[in-house]
Amino acid sequence: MEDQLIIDMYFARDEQAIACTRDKYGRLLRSIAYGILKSHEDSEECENDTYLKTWNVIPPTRPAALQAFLAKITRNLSLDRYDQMHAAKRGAGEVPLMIEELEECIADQGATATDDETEDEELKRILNKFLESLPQDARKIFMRRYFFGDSVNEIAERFGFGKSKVKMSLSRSRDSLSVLLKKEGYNG
Amino acid sequence: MDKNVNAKRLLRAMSDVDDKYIEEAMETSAPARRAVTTSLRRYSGIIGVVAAAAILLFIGGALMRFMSSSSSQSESADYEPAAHNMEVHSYSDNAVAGEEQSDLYAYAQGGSADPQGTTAAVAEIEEGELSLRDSDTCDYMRLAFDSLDALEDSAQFDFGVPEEVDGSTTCNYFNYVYDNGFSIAEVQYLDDDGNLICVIRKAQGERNISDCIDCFSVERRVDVDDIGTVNLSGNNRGYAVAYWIRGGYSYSVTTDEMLTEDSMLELVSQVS
Repeated sequence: MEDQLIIDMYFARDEQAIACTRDKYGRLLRSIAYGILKSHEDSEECENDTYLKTWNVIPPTRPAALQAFLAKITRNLSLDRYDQMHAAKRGAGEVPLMIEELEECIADQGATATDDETEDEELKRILNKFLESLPQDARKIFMRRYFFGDSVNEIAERFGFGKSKVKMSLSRSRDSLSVLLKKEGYNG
Repeated sequence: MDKNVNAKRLLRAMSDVDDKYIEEAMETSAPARRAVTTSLRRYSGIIGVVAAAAILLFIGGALMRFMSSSSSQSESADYEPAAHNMEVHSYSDNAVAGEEQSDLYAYAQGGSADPQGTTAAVAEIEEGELSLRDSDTCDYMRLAFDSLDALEDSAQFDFGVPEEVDGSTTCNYFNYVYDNGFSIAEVQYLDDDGNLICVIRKAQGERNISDCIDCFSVERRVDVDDIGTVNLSGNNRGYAVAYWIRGGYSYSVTTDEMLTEDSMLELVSQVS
């Protein structure tokens, strides 16, 4: 079923919209959640929470790209759940590794980041600028790692690259991001 | 604000990147196709033996064909050299392997290449690491085939599986060969969109080859006639994993969706 038809069903408050979303994107959403949580049961719950949240925000929101819209919701819900599960200690899986890797991009002297929305908007603008600057392969590798939470092995398997190429690409991309963050003044 | 907090913030901000980058990274890719130079080196002995056996079979087949064609034209038409059932190649050597196969085929056909090209299984080799969860991660070589017969030939045991499972339209056939010699035959069932919906495995020896240990909260052991004890894993909605040991072989079934106990055992009963 076309995404626009599914969105129209949400607007019409037709509960079949959720079933159609599950049929079309359920596997994708579970895989995104699993990439972060490494638990089938928690992933299923995040998938279901995604449908609920989608039901609550459409309408009024009309997503331009339903797939990416759902992926973002699942990712955020999974990160929320991850934070709840590991509030007191660093957990297992890819998230602590991703955080550790991204720390390389942040300057030692402390960031000027604040909690306000302006700062988040600025970070979003910098990230989009950074992604735009990357070659396509490097961008896809970076997104698989830091959006979807794929491991190096999974990325290598997905794209048919060697693990060393994936690691090297990620390392170079992080260096580029670090330079851009400093240039844009994010790191203070 | 320390680096860790900012790194978390950066990770969180990744959720807000432009949709086009998310969609680009989700594009369906070709199956993993890794250059296998190191793998070929590692397994050069095995591949050499297979290649030598293939050449001998071609030559033998050609001689048999020549002899039988002398006595019976109709028998000749039905003949298909056994060695055509397997082509071993790497992605870095596709052209070379293809030429070599064609030459051998032409030789077996008495000097003219078959316009149909290869007729049966094609093996593709990949390498990687796989963890069976109850053992150390180890390197493996994955051989891909286009038929169950070819997979059985490679694994060197019979493998009975259903032709299809509910919702499947195509199958993939893989043989994982580990550094330590351990080997797993695997049949994957995919739906119209290429989504994996079921995986069935068989291996010699007695171990859990499902790659799923403590994945689910519900574990159940069921005694099944003619099979023995089947271990089921799932949750309160059903089961997604079954593994069992029978006659010196280990088996597993993994499904994408939760199945009822009866449905899972029905699937199990079709595997041998």
